Amino acid sequence: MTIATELASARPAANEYFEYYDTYISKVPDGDIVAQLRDQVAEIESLYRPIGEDVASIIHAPYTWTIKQVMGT
Amino acid sequence: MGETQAQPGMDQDVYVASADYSIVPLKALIDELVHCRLANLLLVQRLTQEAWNRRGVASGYSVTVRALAWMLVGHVIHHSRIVKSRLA
Repeated sequence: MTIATELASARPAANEYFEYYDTYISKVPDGDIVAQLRDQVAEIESLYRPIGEDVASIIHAPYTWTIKQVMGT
Repeated sequence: MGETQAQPGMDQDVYVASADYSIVPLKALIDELVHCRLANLLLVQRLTQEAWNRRGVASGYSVTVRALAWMLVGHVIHHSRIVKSRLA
């Protein structure tokens, strides 16, 4: 990691963001955040590419959006 | 980068209500997300140490560049977990 990436990869302190977003930040493993951003491209591809149009177009209770709506928004 | 103007938030429900995703192939939505992520990567890879510590205001709240990057990763994790549960 570069020095800048090391700095970026320090878990943000609570005063660096509005507390609501801890629902996202708390899910992130410790480590190189730039590598995680990069690695997620393959994860997105492997999870979403196999999903059929039909499955992606229905609402699965208790959720209120389709997978396509989640992806698009 | 270096923007000092507060950035407005968005109402995701308004966005969803105004878009007809039924006519958009899933493949296109995935392509779009991947391209956005690749653009994010190109940007973050050129950030200096000082840039990661910068703060701005988005949706009415103070936020650092670092926290934004962590939110990008966490947001995908959050929705991927839900999608996996929906597909199970």
